[in-house]
Amino acid sequence: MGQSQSLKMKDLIPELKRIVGDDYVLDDQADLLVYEYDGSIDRGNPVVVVLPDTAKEISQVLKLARLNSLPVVARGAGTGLSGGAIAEHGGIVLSMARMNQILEVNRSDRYAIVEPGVVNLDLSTHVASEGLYYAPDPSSQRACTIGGNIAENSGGPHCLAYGVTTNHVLGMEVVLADGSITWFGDNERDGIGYDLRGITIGSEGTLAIVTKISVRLLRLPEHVKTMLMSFETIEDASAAVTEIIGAGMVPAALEMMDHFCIKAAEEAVGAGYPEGAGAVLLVELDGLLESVEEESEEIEAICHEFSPLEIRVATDSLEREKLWSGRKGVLGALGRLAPNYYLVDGTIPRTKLVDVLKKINEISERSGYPIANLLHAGDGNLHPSILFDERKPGDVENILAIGAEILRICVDSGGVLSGEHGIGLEKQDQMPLMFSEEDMATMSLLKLAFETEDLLNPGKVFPTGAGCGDISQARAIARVGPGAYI
Amino acid sequence: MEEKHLIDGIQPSQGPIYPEDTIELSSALSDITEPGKVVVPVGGATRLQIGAKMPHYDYALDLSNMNHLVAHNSADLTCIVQSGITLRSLQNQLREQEQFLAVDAAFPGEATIGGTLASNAPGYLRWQLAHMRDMVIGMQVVLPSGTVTKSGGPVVKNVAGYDMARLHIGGYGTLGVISEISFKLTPLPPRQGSLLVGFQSENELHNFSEEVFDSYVMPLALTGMNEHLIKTLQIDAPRCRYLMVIRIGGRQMAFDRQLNIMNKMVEQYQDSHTDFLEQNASDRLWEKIRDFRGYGSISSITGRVFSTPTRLRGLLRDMANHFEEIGSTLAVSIQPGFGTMEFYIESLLAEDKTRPTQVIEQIHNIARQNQSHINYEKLPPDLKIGFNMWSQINEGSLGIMRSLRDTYDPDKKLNRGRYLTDKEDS
Repeated sequence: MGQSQSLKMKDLIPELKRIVGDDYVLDDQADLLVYEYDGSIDRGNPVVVVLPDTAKEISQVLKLARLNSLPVVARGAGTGLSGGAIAEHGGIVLSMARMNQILEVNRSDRYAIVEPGVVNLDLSTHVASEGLYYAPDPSSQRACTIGGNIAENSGGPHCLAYGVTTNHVLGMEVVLADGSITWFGDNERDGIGYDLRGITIGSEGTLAIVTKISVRLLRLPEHVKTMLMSFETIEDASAAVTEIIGAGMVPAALEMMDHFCIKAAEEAVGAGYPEGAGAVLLVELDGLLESVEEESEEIEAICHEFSPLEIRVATDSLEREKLWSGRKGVLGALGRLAPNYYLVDGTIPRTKLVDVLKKINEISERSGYPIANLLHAGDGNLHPSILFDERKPGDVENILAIGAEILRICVDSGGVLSGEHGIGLEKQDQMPLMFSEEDMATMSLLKLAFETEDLLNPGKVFPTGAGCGDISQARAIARVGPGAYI
Repeated sequence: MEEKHLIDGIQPSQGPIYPEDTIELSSALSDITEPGKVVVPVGGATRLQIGAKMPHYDYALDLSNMNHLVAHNSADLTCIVQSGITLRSLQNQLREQEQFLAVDAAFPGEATIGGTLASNAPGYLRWQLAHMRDMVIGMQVVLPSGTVTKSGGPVVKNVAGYDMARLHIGGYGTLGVISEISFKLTPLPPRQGSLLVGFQSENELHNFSEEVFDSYVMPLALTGMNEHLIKTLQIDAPRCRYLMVIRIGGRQMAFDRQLNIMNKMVEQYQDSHTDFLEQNASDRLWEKIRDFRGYGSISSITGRVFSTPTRLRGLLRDMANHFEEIGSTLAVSIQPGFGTMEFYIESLLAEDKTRPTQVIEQIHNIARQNQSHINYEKLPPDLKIGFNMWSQINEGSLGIMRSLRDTYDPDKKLNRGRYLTDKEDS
């Protein structure tokens, strides 16, 4: 962020206040501090934070930003953990906190139209009396917003059976970089033309600002069964997961936590996890009563092959909630074990769980940094969380290197760099592990097709230096062909 | 030239190209450097009739030799395929491990995976198992320049980089040629069968489907049809004017429970008639339904309407009334869980040559009034002239679509004029 940007912004603040109102423009340094961080390692201060209330206001802000070549970063609750919502290049942060209304619930057609600042869990709570719910349920669902979920294509424990955010969004109203307002898709489950809705989901706020969202709602299941299986070792638990999926069963959720997570969760919320276990599996089945019972019997039989220490079935909704409270609260609870944690988000083929977790354990032993393993095991999404103390010299550099090593292992195992938190700032330099220069240039072209000035969340997703300046090179690849770039 | 490369009576000016793999596909596209040359990617040619009539084209890029199952990781419930593999070939290989891809486009013996995705082919397995785009977890695409690019990967959860595959599903091969796809797979249900319920009125059909939608029953597929379609398909459903076919699957106890729930629902419809088909007979019926893509004559029309479940009621009523007024028959199927309708017109050609155009315009009006969109799967070549299927899309989206087309295919090498009108695609 240059000094010229700050000076320019001073001139624009009255105009921003005219657009959204005096109370909704923040430029005091103390206020801005709240927006410098998203729970990841990176930090960046915006010059100003604007809290709009309508798409029209956002449109006006974007026109003003464009006229003055200022970057704009949209922000939900800041729970993304990959630096996606950080204003690395200064400019304007658009906080969606005021756009938090559930505008319509259509029970018959099973959709809801919401504003981007609606908290994920609030939507399911709101429609529960209609016998409906919204399936994507990130662990941060008590805080994270639907708009932020769209930016990161968020998942959650129940995405194993029901899919991630992109599988549940029917359409969205967006403001494009030039300030124009339009809809991508609507309330239909299929449509004509390029899937602009689909390409915008997971684009980390780099293509458009989402201002209304039509989401698909599901019927609450007739029956839910939650089971906790504890094992002596994480290898046994991993092998059980591989066997369950290999047997052709796709539970609603299949989560795994190692001994660090068990300890932290127990201390924090007393979820009733057995502290002596090397790992626990939290398995949830839902659907017709008969189907749930048949499958749970089969899963229990599979788990018995791996000598479980205990298999416990939640007997009522209270016990079920208690078991889930440990899982959903475990990240916050890691603070009990160390001052800081660095959560790594990678996905691997489910059959590689045993091998990859063994390698992560070796890294932990070699480096001396404890690594707590929290996994959406059913879909191979790992969240190794490296425990450290940022006040100790060298710790941040060391854990970043460990995170990079773990991601390399994921990619080498046939996996990917992110399962649900996105690339953001944190992993942009690791993109070449997964993608060729042609792949990334082709993606850069997409950004160019949406906006040429690179003002929407600039400097994210692609490796440092592969931003706007390289777009002409990307265009050359598309026009000339392979080999032109190398 | 093969017969299948003839599109709306237009044959390519050059011989077809049959790449064997991605490298050959890339070379084929990068070798075509002469300005103005038009390339049409071809799979099984089961859906090449869709789109506007081209003035000319030069190369059929036939992917039927890229027909291998590259990897099937059955323990991970994933696979990687070349885009020219047929649906049937793939499903047969997956079945050996008791798995399947939840995509059921018509003519699976000919239809390729690449063509099915590129043309967003309709299918019925969407109630419980979602849209086919939800099965795609990774994709390799060759750009018009010959550049090979990939996005996603062979894991079931992935948000690294833009989800580029989304652009090519339903992109009709205008932004690139799909060369390889990673899919997530579904275990085959141990037990399958279909319940047929016949009704006397359209209202009963809608009421019943809404009850199923609102129940705990999770059909694999569900479709309703009117008596013209029942007759055309020669389905044995005596004494009914409307028919609902519900395909269910699962473990034995869950299967029986779903059947019981629906049989109970049916009891309140006094003149209804039910029949149950075990798996083999059920499979044969669904093949018949799936493979009917319209009447065979050159003047026939097949259309697909995208709507919401509840709007289907008004759509079906308005369409039926209109066709009764003009004295023509209309065969219709609806997919209430998904909010789509398909209609089949045997012929509109009459002495008055303006009549078919007027009828098409009226169908568009009915769709608009019911807040729905239409895509034509088949139109007589004469009616295609000046037809612009993108015209129902809002200007904002259309602007981005044009920009995408200009960005990825600046020379309009792929499918020029077929999916955007000349004005937009010249």
